[in-house]
Amino acid sequence: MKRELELNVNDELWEVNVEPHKTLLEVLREDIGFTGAKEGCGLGACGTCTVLVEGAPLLSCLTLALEVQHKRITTIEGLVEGGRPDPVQKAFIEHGAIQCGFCTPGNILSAKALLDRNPRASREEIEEALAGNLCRCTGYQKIVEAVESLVGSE
Amino acid sequence: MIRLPKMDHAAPSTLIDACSLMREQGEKARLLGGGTDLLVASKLRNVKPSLVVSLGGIPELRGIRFDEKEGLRIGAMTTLNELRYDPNVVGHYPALAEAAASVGTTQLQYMGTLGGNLCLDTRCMYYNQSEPWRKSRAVCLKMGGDVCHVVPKAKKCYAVFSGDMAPALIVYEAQVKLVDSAGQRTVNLKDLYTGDGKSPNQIKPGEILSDVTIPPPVEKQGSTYLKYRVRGSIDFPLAGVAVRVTLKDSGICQDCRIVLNAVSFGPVPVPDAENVLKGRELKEDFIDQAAEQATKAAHPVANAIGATPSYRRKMIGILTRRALMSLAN
Amino acid sequence: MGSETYSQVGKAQPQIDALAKATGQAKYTADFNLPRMLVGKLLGSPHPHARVLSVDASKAIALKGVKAVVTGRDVLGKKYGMFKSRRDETGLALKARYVGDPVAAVAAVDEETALEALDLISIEYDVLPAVFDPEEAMKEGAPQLHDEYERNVVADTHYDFGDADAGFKESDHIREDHFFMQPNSHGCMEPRGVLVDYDITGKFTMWTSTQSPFHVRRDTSRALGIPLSKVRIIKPHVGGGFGGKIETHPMHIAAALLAMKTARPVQIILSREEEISITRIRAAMQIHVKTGVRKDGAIMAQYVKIIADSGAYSSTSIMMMYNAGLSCMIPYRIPNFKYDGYQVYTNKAVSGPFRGHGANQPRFAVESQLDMIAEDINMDPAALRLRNASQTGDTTISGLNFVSCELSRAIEESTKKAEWDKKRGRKETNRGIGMACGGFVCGARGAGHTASGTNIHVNEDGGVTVLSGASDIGQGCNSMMAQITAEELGIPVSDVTVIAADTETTPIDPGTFSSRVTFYSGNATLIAARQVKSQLAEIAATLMEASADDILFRDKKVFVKGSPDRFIPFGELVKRAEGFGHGRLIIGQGQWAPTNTQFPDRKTKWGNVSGSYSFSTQIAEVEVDRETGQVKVLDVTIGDDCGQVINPMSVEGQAEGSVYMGIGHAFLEQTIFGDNGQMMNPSFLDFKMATPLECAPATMVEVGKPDPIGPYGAKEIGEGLLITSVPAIVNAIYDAVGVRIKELPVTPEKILDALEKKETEGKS
Ligand SMILES: Cc1cc2nc3c(=O)[nH]c(=O)nc-3n(C[C@H](O)[C@H](O)[C@H](O)COP(=O)(O)OP(=O)(O)OC[C@H]3O[C@@H](n4cnc5c(N)ncnc54)[C@H](O)[C@@H]3O)c2cc1C
Ligand code: SF4
Ligand code: FES
Ligand code: FES
Repeated sequence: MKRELELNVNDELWEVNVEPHKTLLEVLREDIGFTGAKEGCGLGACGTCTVLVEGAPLLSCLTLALEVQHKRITTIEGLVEGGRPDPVQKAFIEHGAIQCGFCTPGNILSAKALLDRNPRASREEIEEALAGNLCRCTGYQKIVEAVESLVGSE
Repeated sequence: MIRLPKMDHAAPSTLIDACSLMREQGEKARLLGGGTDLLVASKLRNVKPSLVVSLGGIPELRGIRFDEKEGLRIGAMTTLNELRYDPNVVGHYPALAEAAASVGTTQLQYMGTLGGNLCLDTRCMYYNQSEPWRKSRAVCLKMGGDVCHVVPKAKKCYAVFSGDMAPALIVYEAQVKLVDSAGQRTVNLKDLYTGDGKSPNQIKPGEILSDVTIPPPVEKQGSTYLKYRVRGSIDFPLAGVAVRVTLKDSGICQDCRIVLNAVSFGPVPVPDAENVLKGRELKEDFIDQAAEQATKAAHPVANAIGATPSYRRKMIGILTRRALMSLAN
Repeated sequence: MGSETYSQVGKAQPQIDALAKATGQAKYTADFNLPRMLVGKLLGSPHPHARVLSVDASKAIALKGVKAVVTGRDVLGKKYGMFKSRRDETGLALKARYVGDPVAAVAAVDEETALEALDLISIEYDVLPAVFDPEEAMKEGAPQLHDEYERNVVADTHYDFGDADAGFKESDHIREDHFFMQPNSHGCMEPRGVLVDYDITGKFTMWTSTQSPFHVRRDTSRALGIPLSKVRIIKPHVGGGFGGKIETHPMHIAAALLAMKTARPVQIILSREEEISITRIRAAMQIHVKTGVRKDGAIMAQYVKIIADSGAYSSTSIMMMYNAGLSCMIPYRIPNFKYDGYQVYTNKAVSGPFRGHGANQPRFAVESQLDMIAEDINMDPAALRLRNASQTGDTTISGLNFVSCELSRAIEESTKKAEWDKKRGRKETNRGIGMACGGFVCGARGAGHTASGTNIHVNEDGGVTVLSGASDIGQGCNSMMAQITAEELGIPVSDVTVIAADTETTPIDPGTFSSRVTFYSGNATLIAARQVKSQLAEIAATLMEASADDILFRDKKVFVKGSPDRFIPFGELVKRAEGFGHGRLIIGQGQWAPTNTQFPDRKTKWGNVSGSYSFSTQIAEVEVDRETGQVKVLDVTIGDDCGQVINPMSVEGQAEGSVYMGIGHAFLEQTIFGDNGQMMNPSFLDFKMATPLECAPATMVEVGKPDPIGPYGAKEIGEGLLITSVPAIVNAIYDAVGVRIKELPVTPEKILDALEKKETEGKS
C-alpha cells in the first residue's frame, strides 16, 4: 500500500515511500528526519507541529503527507539560511522568548507566516495569530514582544 | 505519535470523478476537506474510513464569486481564512467573516474548509475521546450502542452541533448544492440539519456539498455573529448567535433572522424572537424580549467541557441582546 | 545592587541553548532513535479499581511485529517512590487503582503494531468498589486502596506551635472560612517519554524527559532489582516540567523491562491524553482556615485544616502536606499556629508535586481570608499585610529562619507602582485591584542527601566545560551555571559548555524541584569556578611574578591588578598551565548544601528546612463584566524578593510565566473527573490553558537585596510567585464587584450566581 511521493521540504526534494495514512508530521519526523516539528497533542489544539505550506501555517499533525505533494513546505530547520538564523528566530532568542523550547518552532513559524502577510501587524493581531500556539513556560509576553520588534522592520 | 488508522487516499481532479468514486466505495469512504475534523475523528477512532477522497485537487470547488445581482457563491473547498479576509464577504456579509474568524485557531482557519465546517460532526465529551478512553464506558448511541451518558433515558443522541459557519450563513438564507453521480439538488442550509445528534446532516453517502450560494445583500441590512467560548482561541463555541436585520427607512425592522449555535443538534432558527422585532423599532425593550425568546429556544445539555447548560443558555440571551444592540447602533 | 561590579551577573542573557531551540536542533526524548529500536505502549485499566486476575496476551504476541508483552507479573513487585516511607508503586499494577493505571505494556516494531497489540491483550479483572471523594474515602468501611493506610489516609501531618487556643482568646476578631482549590494538570508542552538501550553487559542507558535523573535511576534499579550502577539516565532537552516530571513513571519501568526482554532499544512516548491523565496532577484541596487578629491587625493565631486528594498513589504526599503547613508560616509573623493536614487516596489520577508544591492551595485560602479580615476590621489589605510581614532575622515559631526578607519593601514598592490607593474601591467601574503575599523555600531539605555538585574543567583553547547534575527543564539553569562560571573566569558565556544531568558523567544531584537549583547548583558552580580560578591564578602569579591575590580575570584575559597591560590571554594561560611544573590539569569541583538548615523534628516539625526564603507581593488589576460574569486580568505588578538577580531575562520569564499560569489556575484550568473517576478532559482542547489572548502584562519592581547565602545573593523565583497569582486575582475581583469566590476555578457562572445572591441578600 505504500506510495512513492516527492515532498519539497526546505527547498529540497525528498523522495519517500509511505503509506497513505501518514501525516506530514510523521513523514517529516520519521521518514525525512526534521524533528523540529513536535507533537504536543496530535489533535490540532496546540500548534507545536506547525509548518509552513506555501507560506501558510498548517498543522502537520492533521495534514496527510499525500495532500502536500508539489507544495513548498518549510520547517523550522528551513528558516536557517547559509548557517544564519532567520530574523524571527533571532528575535525570539534576543527577547528571551524561549524557555523550554518545545513550543518554539511552532511559534516562530506562526510568527513568520504572520509577518510575511502582514508586516505591520498590531499587538492584537500578533496575539491573535499566535493564539493557536500554546506555550506553557513564557506567559507569551516575550514571544509577543519578539514579534513586535520585527514589525515594520522588514 | 497519535496514529491514523490505515486508509487509502484518492485525489480526483473533477467533481464527477469524485462522485463516482464515492458511489463505488459507499459508506466506507469519506470526503476529505481540510481534514481538521475528519482526521481528528479518525485518530480517535470515532470513524474508520477505508478510503479518504480528497477534494483538494478539484478546481470547481474553490473560489468565492460575488455579483451584485446574483449574490455570493462560495466553493465548498474555500478555506475559512479566505472567507475571513475576502473583501466582498467582509463588506456585504460581515457575519460570515466574523464567524470564520472565530473558528479554532489561525492554523485551523487556513486548513478548514467551508464544506467541512458545514458538514462538521456533532460533539460530545463522551464521544470526542480516544478509543481506549471510551472503553471505560458502555458504547453510546452515537457509536452504535444503546445508551446515552448525557441524557440517561434518551432515545436519540444529543451531541451538539458546533460549526460556526452554518448559523451565519443561515441568516443570509444560504442554500447549498449537493451533487452526486446521479445529479444534484439544492437545499436550504437551514434544512440540511436533521435534528439527530448521531447523523446531524442529511447528506447521503456519495453526495458532495459543492457550493454555497447566498442571495445578494439587501439594502440597510446589518448582520453579525457572536460566539461564546472559554478562551479567545482554540475552543469550539459553547453558545453562538447569528443575527441579520433589515431596516426600513423609518428605522422599523423590516425583516430579521436570528439563529443560535452550539445549543442543539443543529443551528436553531428562532422565529419567535424574529417575530418580536419584525415591524418594530430596534429598541432596547423589544431587543430584550427577543433575547428572552432566544433563551427559551436554547436547550443545551451537559455534554461540553467549559460551561454548564444553564450558563450557555444565559449566554444565548446575552449574545442575542448584544448582537441586536450592536446592529441598532 | 552591586551588579555594576559584575561582568555577567545581573545582565540579561538569552539561554545558552536558545539558538539550538530556535532552529529545531535541540533534541527532546522523542527526537532520538536507535537502530533496531522498538516502540512501547502502555495499556491502562478501564476500571477505577480492579484486581488483574489473568492476562491473555497470546493473540498480541502472535501479531507480526510484536516482540514482547509485560504485565504486573513481570515486575518484582518491589515498591518504589520518592519517599521511603510512602513507596507504593510497582510500575505495572496487579491491582489497578484508577482508570488508566498501567497494567501491561507491549513492544513492537512500530507504534501502529504496538497499538494493535494492545487491543489484542485480554485481561480478566475482578472489579472492586471504588471511591472518588477524599472525605468519603476517610470514612469507616470505604474501599481501601492500599492495605498499609487505614481509611486511605496516606499523609497525616500536624503542627501545633505556640498556643492557638490562647491566641484566639487574645484576638479581637476571628474568622473561619472554607475554600477549595481544584485539581490541575502541569500541561508541559512536551509529553514525557523514555528511550532505553540495554546492552549485553546488563547496562541500561535511558534518555528521558525528567526533572530528576537520579531519582529515576534509583527507582528503576529498585523496581527491577538491578544494581544502581547498571542504570544510566541521560536527560536531553526537556519541554517543561513544573513539578510533574520529578518522579519515576511506569513508562520507565515498562520500557526498561521490555528492553531487557527483547534485547533491543525501546522507546515509549506518552500521548497527550496519557500525559495529562496518567502522570501526575496537582492535588485538589479542601482548606479550612481560622484566623484571629487584634484590632490593629496583628495576627494572633491561625488554624489551618486541609484535606487533600491524593488520587491512587502517594507520590510526594508527605512532603506536600508538610509544605502546605510550612508555607503558611513564611510571609507573616504568626505567634500561634496549628495545622492538620490529611492526604487521602481516591481512585483517581495521581496527585503529585506541582510548581509551588503544596503552597498554592493554602496561599489562596489564607490570602483570600486576609482580605475578608481587612474588610471586617476596616483596614486596608496592604496595611494589614504590612503589619504582619516577616522581617529579616525572624525565626518563625516553627523554626524557619529568614536570613533575608524584603517583604515589607515588596508590599510598599508594588503598591506604589500599581497605584494601589488610587485604584482601590472603585466598584462603579467594575474594575478592581487585589494583592497577595507569599514566601517560598530555596530548596527544602527534609531529610536525606540534597547537596548539589558541579565539576568544571578548562580546555586548552580557553573553552570551559561545566558538568552538573542539575536538570534544565526549560527554566534555564544551564545558562545560570554558564553565567556564574563566565563571571568568575572573566570569559564570555559563549565560551562555556554545560553538560548537565547524566547520572554517569555528572555529579549526583537530587533534581529540579523545591526551587533549589539556583541556590544549590549555583553555589556549587561558584565554588568550582573559584577553584579553577585560584588554580590558574597561582600559575599566572608565577608566570607574571605577582602575588596570586593580585590576579584578576576579565575580558578573556588574566591581569595583574593595577597593571592593565600585564596579562596573559585566558586560553594561553590554560595551555601554559598544562605544561607547568610536572604538568597540571585545571579542574574545579564544587559541592554545596546550606549549613544553616535543620531537619524538621519528626514529631513537632520544628526546624529550618531551607537556607533562605524568597518573598513576594503580587497585585492584580481586573475588570469584570457584570452581565456575563467574565473577568479580564488587565495588569499585574510584582514585587519579588528573589535576592540578587543573576539573569533579569530569566527572572522576568519566570515572573511572566507565573502570571500566565496563575490566570489559568484562577479561571480556566481544571482536571474534571467523571462518575467513574475517569478524567473527562485529557486533551489540550478541553484542559484549557491560556492563550496569549487571556494573558496580562506583568511589571516587576525591584525589591530584592543580595541574600547572604545564595550565589551572589540570589534566591528563588520559579515557584514562589505562582502561589500569589491566584489570590491576588480573586481579591481583585472582590474589589471590583464585591463577590468572593472561594471555590476555584472562578467561572463566569460563579460570579453571576454570587452577584445575584448578593443582590437578593441586599434587598431582603
Ligand atoms: C482544536 C480544534 C478547534 C476547533 N474549533 C472550531 C471552532 O471553534 N468552530 C468550528 O466551527 N470548528 C472548529 N473546529 C473544527 C474544524 O476545524 C472546522 O469546523 C473546519 O472548518 C472543518 O473543515 P475541514 O475542511 O477541515 O473539515 P474536514 O475534516 O475535511 O471534514 C469534516 C466533515 O465534513 C465532510 N466533508 C468535508 N467536505 C465536504 C463536502 N464538500 N461535502 C460533503 N462532506 C464534506 C468530511 O467527510 C467530514 O465528515 C476545530 C477543530 C479543532 C481540531
Ligand atoms: S449525547 Fe449521548 S449518545 Fe450522543 S455522543 Fe453524547 S453520550 Fe453519546
Ligand atoms: S500536535 Fe498538531 S496541533 Fe498539537
Ligand atoms: S517555551 Fe516551553 S512551552 Fe513555550
